[in-house]
Amino acid sequence: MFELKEVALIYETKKQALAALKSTDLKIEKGEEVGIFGPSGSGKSSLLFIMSTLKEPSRGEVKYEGKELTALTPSAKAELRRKEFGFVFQEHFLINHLTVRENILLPLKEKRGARKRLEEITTALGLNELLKRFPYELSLGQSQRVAVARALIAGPKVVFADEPTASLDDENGSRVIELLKSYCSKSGATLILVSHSFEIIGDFRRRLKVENGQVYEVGVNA
Amino acid sequence: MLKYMWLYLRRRPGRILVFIFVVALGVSMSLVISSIFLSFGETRSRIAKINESWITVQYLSESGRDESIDNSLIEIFEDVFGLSDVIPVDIAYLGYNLFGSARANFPVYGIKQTEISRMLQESNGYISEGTVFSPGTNEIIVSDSFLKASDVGLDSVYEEESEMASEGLYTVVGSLAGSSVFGLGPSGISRGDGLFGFLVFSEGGFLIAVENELRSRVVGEELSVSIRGPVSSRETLERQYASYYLGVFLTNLFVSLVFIVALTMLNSVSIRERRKEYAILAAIGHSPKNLKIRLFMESLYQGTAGWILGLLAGRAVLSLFEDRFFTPNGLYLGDSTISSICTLFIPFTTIVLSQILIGRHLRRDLVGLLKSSEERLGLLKNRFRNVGLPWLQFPLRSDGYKSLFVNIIAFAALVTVFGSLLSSLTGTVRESGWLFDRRSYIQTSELEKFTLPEEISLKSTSVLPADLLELDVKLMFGATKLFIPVVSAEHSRLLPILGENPVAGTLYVSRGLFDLIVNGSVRGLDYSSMEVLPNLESLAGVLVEDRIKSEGLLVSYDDRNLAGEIRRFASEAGQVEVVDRKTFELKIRAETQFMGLISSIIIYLQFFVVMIIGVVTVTRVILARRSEISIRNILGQSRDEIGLLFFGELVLVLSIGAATGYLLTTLCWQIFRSLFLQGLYVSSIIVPETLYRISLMTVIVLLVGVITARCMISKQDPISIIER
Repeated sequence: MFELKEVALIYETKKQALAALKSTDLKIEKGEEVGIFGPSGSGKSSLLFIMSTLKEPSRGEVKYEGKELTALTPSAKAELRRKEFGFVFQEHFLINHLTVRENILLPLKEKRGARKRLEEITTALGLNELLKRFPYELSLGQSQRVAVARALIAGPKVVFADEPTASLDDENGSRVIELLKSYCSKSGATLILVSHSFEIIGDFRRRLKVENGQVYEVGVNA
Repeated sequence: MLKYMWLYLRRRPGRILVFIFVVALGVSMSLVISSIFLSFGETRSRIAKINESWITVQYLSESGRDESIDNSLIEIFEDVFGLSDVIPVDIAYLGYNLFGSARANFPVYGIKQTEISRMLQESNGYISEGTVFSPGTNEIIVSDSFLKASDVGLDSVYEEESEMASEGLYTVVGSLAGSSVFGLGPSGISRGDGLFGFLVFSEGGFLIAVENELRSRVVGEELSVSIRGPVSSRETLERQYASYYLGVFLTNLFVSLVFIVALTMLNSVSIRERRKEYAILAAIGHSPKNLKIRLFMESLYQGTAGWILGLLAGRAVLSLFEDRFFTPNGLYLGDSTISSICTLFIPFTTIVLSQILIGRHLRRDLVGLLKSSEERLGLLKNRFRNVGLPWLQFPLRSDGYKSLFVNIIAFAALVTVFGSLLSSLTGTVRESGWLFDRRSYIQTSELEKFTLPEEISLKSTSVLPADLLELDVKLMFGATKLFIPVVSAEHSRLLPILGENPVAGTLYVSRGLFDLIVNGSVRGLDYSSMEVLPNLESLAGVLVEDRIKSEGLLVSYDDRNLAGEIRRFASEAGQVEVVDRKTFELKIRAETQFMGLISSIIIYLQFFVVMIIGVVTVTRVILARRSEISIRNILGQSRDEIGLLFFGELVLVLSIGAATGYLLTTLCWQIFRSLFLQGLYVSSIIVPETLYRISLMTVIVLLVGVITARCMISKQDPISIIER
């Protein structure tokens, strides 16, 4: 599904060049559950952003289902993100003047027929009572669950999660991870989750460690 | 404190400069507009000033000088005051348009050649151009400002008591320079019926005593003479200036209001965005009073800088205008100290309002203040949880577009009021000339000797003797003249528009004129009965009498080109006046010029403010929604889609604002008109030009807003939200 060849991300300043991601080769298959961990500033988020088209690599090839992502126009990338990808971040990044319902439906271009899907997801995430609220009327845990619902509403083939539990307590954090894993296992979607903590991704089938911009395979759970 | 201000200036130079710029713009605009009013005052005062140098005693006579009045006056001058050097004069008045419909009449003294040097000495004037006039002619020397203003050469002058000007009554042979506006001519320039009298010279203080004593003597001896001197001149000036100062005050008030609204909105935005800063300062021990003083000092510095810049810019513009605009119109630029002081209203009120604004925020507790810095939601958010249309969500649930919305309402209201007043004025003058669209009235003192050439008579549908009534129509601002032909019953059948059997003593009018007369807007009309004729349109009327004086001819024709031929012929025949289509075209230009200028200045001023507010609002809204743009982009919305969202929001805000402003103003106007403007003629407020102007300017603001939004969205990186 994803194929990265010699992908690197280098920030160049006047004085020096800083490699956020050194030359990386990586393959991720469809339906895989990939956990990426590493210390802060190691380059794990950069790896996720490059795969999700949010960032351009300095060099190398990034292929998604055979298509070269770096060759796509900004509009084509946006279309790809809308159709195929789902995103959850450390902060919920909900839009303040939109209700919970409107925030969740944001990735859908065609809102018709979304009611059933919305009902399924909000029921599964326990958000039915909160649909008419504004984000500032929610707790952190509730906001993150809304963010998860938003990521999953369009039925993405790949879910990217960047530190989704960092601002949550343990209980809420575990709940969010379970929700993402459950969606991916049921739908056959790929889950790529980044965390600074190995504990969070300990039971993921495939685990990658990123350190000083270098990506290492840590092992595969049975 | 200064260090803090310096930090603030470095952090937000753009906002501070915009604030200073808007203050400066308001101050300079205010100064320039009020100077127009003051220039009328100054110019008229130059005319009245002549009476500070001498006393003019004058009387009206239909047959030259009245010996009995002359002897009585000379007796008083010699016996009471011991003055034997009074100068006998005859006086004519020349009028000129100061600008548009504002006029001034100044005296031209018919005087003996030998007395000229004394008059010039008393008035501190000198002959700047031309030769001295010849006795027994109509040659005159007039102030150079008149020559510039009237746009006439040195050989033709209009005695402009009415729009029907008589060309060539006087011949200008030179110009006067000096601080006063007046003219000189040879004795006898006012022949037959005219004004005659004496000029009385004396030392400054004594002149006032002479004027007062003269008044009581004249009353005692029951002489019908009028006296103009320093005392009456001061009274006239004070009265005139009171109205000019009122004009200056109202103009300043109006311009100030426009700018104060804009500046307060900028301030409101700034304070709102700095709530977190104030909360942090409060948390580390700054009292609300201290924070208020900080903001006061900031506003004071910015306001003062803007005020000084505005004054400098305003004065620079005025000096530019003086050469290109005031002097060519015969206007003197008045002392702008009063208008300069009036402009303080803008920074002063803005500073006071900023204190009220910050006070509202500082009343909250510290946590509330910190939290409020994150809130961007409007007062009505709870009412709009179910809004489906994405374009409506942000405008309704937040206060992001509030300033733009309020301004576009104000803008539409202004355009409606001023645009419509202007259209109403223009419309009234145009409507009053309907009857003369295919008719010319030729006035002549010797009708029996006056015959139209055959080529004109043959092309005319009718030529009949007629008189012309000039009537005043009261308008909301000033008045306009209405011309009604008076025809005899005998000849009236030649006018098919009057029907088959016109009745003597009947005033035949259009529906519009009928309403005017019934409302009491038309004065000085005498008739036995009135009848509305469907043939007559706009503000047309014809009075049918048994007998008329036959002072002129009313020529009707189908070919509108004939008007020009008639006018040319009348002009060549000399001493005749013509009222036709062109008369009204000139009237429209002259009478609406001033109103047009003021309307344009105010409309474009407000338009400019809306543009600034529009760009500031769009920039602010986009900056505040950078996260939202990022999120939308991450979730797959392209920049075009996001741009479309902003476009939709702007369209809604601007169109709803413009429509609200227009409809509210129209409604208020109708109520105001029915309550307060009864008896005044106002043609219409709903005019296509108003809608066109509002639409055009709304579209321009929209385009500017959309371009700003598009540029800012294009620069936005989707990942910036996370990296920030």
